[in-house]
Amino acid sequence: MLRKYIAIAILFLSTGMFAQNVEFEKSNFKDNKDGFKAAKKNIEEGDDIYQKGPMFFKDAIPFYIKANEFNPNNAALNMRIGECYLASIYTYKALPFLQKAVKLNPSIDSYGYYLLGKSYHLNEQFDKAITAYSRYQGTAMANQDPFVLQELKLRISQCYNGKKIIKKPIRVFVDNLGDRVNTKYNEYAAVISADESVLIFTARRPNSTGGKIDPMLNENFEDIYISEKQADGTWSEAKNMGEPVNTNDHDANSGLSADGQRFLIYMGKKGMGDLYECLLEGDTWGKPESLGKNINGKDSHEPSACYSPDGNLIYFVSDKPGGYGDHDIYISRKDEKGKWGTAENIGTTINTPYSEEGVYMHPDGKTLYFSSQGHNSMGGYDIFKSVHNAEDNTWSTPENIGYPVNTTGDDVFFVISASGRHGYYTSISEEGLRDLFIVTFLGEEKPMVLNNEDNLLASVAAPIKEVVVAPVVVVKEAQLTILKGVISDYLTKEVLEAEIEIVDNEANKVIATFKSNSKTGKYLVSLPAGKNYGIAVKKESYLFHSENFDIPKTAAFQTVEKNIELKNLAVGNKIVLKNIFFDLDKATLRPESTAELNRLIKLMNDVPTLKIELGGHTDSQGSSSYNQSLSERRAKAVVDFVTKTGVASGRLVSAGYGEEQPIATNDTKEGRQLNRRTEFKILAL
Amino acid sequence: MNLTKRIFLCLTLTFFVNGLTAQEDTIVKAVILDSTDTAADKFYNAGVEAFGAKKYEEAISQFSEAIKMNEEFEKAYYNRGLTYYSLDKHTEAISDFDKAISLREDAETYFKRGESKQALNDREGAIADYTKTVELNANHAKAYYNRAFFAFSDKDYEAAIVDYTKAINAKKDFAYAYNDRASAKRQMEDYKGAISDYKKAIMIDNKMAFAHNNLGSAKRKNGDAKGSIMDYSKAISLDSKYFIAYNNRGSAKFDVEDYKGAIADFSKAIEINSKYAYAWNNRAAAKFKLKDYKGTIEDCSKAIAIDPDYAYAYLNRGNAKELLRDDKGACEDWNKAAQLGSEAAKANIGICQ
Repeated sequence: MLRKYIAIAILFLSTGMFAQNVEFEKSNFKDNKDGFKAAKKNIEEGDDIYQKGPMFFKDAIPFYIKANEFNPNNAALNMRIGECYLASIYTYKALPFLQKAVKLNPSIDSYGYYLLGKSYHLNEQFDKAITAYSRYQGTAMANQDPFVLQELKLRISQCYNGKKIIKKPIRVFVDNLGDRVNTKYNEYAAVISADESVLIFTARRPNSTGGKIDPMLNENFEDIYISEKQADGTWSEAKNMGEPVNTNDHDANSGLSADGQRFLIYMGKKGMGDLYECLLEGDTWGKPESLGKNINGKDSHEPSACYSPDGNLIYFVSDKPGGYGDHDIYISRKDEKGKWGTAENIGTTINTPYSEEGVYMHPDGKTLYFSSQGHNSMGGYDIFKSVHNAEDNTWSTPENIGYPVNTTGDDVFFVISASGRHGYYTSISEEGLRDLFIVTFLGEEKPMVLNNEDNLLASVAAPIKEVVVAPVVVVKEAQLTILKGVISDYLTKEVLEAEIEIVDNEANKVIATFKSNSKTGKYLVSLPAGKNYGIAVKKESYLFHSENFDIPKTAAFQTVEKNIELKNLAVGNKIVLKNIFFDLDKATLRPESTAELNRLIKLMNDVPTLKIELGGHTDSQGSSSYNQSLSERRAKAVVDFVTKTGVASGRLVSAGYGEEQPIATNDTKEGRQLNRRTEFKILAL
Repeated sequence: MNLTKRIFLCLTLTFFVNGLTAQEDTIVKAVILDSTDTAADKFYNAGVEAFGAKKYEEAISQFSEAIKMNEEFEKAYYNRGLTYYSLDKHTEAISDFDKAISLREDAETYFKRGESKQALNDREGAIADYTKTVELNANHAKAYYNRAFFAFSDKDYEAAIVDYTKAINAKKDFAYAYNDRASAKRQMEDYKGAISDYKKAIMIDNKMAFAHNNLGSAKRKNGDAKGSIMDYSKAISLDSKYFIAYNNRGSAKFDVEDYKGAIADFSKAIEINSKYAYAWNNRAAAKFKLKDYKGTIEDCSKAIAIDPDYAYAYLNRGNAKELLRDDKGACEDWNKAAQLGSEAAKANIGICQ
């Protein structure tokens, strides 16, 4: 009896080990001729589609599957189905077919092992992938095919990277952005404004502008959509941005400025695919304008780009000649006339012999996010970050942002919020569609703090507490201040389109100029840490408004909401000149005051009838007589500076008010700082 | 009572009450005089007997009678002072010791006056008296030991170690001094030195639960969490109500990632002392590691209810709320912890904007 069981077991085992490859030959299906005929027909139909190229492989799958249902034991057909799945979005379905193909016929075309390696690779089975790739490497070496050898070398190294990266996953929450943004069609390539209030993305939905169907994919043409963050924190129903942003051809968004007032578009219709810029005027987006020949090469492909937070630089991807790999990242600087200057390759720290894509500069102005097939990618494109050092103009070694945001597939078009808390990217939904997802970065695990105590002294009953200092988890990326708000008229409260000038007070240089939105009055500026910023808000026939933000290098991320009301040029109106600085306890103007003083001089020259009083104010520290004298001397120093430039001395009077007119409490450091000020009052017009 | 020879009655006084192990050292020796020649001596002897029977009020009245009859009766002043000391009437005690010292400079009287001053928080006075004690008796172990307490309290651990060492030199089996010197070494992060001294204390007296506990904590501080568990267990076996040791053993188990074991110990500490905020907070931390974030929040809330200014309980609760996707709640907790001075919480609230 026992012997019988053993015999049966051996029989099963051997059947499993030596499953037969069954060729699609008439002689193998004598008892089901019709079925054989239908299967052959399906294969032929599948093959016809397959011949059109990889973009069509997915459409061949249903035919091949039918044939496979008839004869599941054909190695070549299993390999073909696997290959087609690998070219579709359902890559994960390829593996069982490819495994079966090599099992049915271990001496299958070695390309089958390449496909199997790819499939293991995508399924994060790195060791098996390396073995399969190595099998194909032998054939490639024999054929002396340098392209294939380079590709295999890359893929095998990606597997080794993957083994390391996957061991240390980063802590994130990943959430689908929901049905107001995602639909049953494909959505991808999201960009956001710095404060995450505006989301722009590309989608292939019915009723696209022009209504065309992409014959390559049998999908709608791309259009650009917009959604806005609502008061309750949810996204509004995404809207097609309409003409002129969307055209009859493919329109795909790329970079959005920090304030959401301008953005970059990729248009496939001209050249090899070029970059355009669109500006928001009130609530209307203007016509896309080409970024010019310095960026868009005649024979090159520029698929993506982004702005620096000050808007003076564009980082873009191009395959223009002279690069280090297929597509590289370049920069172009805006010249004084507002034109984009000659493109410069960003260098080999970032660019690899492989391809770079999807570039995004964080609002901190120094952390660049991009996708690359090189560096230590774990497969396809991975997302990396590199930090620019302005002092020696170098980039840090790109860092893989980690699993599970990076996967073995292509991870591209990733943007991150100013706070560093959220990232937005495209992934495959449970339904197999490309959807937009939000990633919440939790950072390193926050250590839990335990408390203990001991009876350290034998003769004292009370225990002694152990001093515990909780370790501080620092979020490195978020070193900037986002300043935002609404600009309006002081009296009528009407929103205003005003110019916002950002000055580096120490360098006495205008860094950037922005405008508030004419319909909403909204503005947003990103102020990377490490500078003393003077901010001037200007509009014709209004008194300019000034703000000062001295942000140390180590300052953490913060959002400051500041609504600004501009005052008319009218007698009696006064403003505080926040960017006038004096040496401590002296009436000597510091050089950081130059930009503000120049604004004042310009105003005096622009309005020749203007007569003003410059008033000095102090806080209440020190004696009142000392403060009175200091305020008088300081006010006079400003008047002297202005009159020296040629403004008639009769148009300015100086007045010292000492500590008599506080505008805040003198009990706090912040209050005292507000009280120490130079005010400017209109006496006559 | 006709006493023909000198009898020494050993009166044991507890200096400070540890609550864990009674102080075993004999501090004071009161003397019954064999001569009853004078009425003063009779009252004096009656006082000593009353003191021995813990009839302190009676003792005081007897000593007072003796003093009335003999205003320079130094021992009567000393013993009445001692009786006042036993009644926690330290001002009266000091006055009597002053008088006794004015009649005769004696190390023991300085020492007792020092203890009374210490009881009245007269730090400088106590230190001066202990210093005088050791000037008069360089082998007065308790005086060194008591003086070391002040250095320890001032975090001047080096000075404390010098005095503890002198105490040990004067009294080789001074287990408390070994324990306390170990603690001073521990505070200076000399964990190896601390471990060695705690072990000596235990060799002299292995029934001191607190010394086993302290040994465990020194090991844990020295990175040997696994080894510390054994010592905490010993402390617990000596004192089954020792919730501090349970809390510490739980923390050691937390360190070795035995979170379930840690929870059991913290729960035991809570069972013994339900107002022990540390154990609630620590159990919350262990629950967090087991991804029981709701449990973490409940336990932290309990710790906060006991101690509304418990910064780390807010910090920990915020961490759990974050993982339950309650960012608003997390930010409220981190803000509160930051207000209470937690730097870690300040770093966390960067994400709250």
